[in-house]
Amino acid sequence: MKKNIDKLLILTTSSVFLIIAIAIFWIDIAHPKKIDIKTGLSFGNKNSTIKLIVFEDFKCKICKNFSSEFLPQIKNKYIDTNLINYQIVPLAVISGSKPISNAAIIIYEMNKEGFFDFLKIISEENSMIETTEDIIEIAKKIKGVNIEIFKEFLHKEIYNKYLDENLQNAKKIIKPLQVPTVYLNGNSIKMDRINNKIEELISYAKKTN
Amino acid sequence: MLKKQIKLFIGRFGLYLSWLVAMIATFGSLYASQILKLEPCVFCWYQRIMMFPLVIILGMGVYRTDKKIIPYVIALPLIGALIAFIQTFFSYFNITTPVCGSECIQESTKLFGLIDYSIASFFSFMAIYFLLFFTQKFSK
Repeated sequence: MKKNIDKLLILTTSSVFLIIAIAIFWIDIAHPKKIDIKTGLSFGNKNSTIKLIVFEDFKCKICKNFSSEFLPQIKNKYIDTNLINYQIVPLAVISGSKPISNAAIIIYEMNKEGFFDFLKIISEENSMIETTEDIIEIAKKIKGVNIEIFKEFLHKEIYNKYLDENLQNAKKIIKPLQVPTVYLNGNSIKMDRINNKIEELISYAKKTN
Repeated sequence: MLKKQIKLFIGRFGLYLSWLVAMIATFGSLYASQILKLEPCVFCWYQRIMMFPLVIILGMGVYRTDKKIIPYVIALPLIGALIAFIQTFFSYFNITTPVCGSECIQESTKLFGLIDYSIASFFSFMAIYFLLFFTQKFSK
């Protein structure tokens, strides 16, 4: 009698947990999020069915690791070859990151290619960016950047409103809010799986076209 | 009378309750890492090593109504509690420690926004330990 009760308890409880796990899987993983961000910094093929969206803060150490370790490969293989649409949604999550976020957006607006050079410099391990003067010194090294306009826009921090809007949108999508967060076609993925997943999607797109 | 009833209840269902706590803790840990994408730090991994086997072993013990497994597993929650205590201590005194999740999290990593994961883990391990201890004691 005791053994039967125990067996029943364990089987019933396990079943409940299994149902909950399946429900969570169904809700979260099987249904990708609709990331309706039209205001990100866009690169690559806008019409591509493969959309990689990265929420990042340019002052965040791990975002810098992403930019130095993964982004160059993604750029060479998929962005420059127009295979994917790559969007960066800049966020000012960390205290004091608004100046560098503003700088990155200004450079993007002036020269898209220069944006990646800027990202490369600020992502270097030994890069010391304490003040706006440090940011201006880095901007001087980027081709296609009008330094006078850059300085003016940087001092006014003209993109603060845009950064605040991005942060409000990000809080609705990413819970808890953390950076960097990467979404590939609405599914959140880990950084080290990006290449594999993109290859799968490209193969699938080729088969269906 | 109530004390006797509690003793009987623990003696009878303590093993199942300890398995349930282990199951909820394991579930919560996997939810945090797989759904919320909070990367476990090294402390969390060692605590997982202590917690995950409890789900299997205690589950088998409940299924077979075999309380003899208790002496073989009772060390696991104690070690897990110790690791959770150390993690909480480091976190409380701001000693540099591996951080759960990304370093760049705006909101702190708290369970339901109320309690740190490390503290919740400590209490889970202690609950499992005491349930196993008293199950063994009250079953004699």
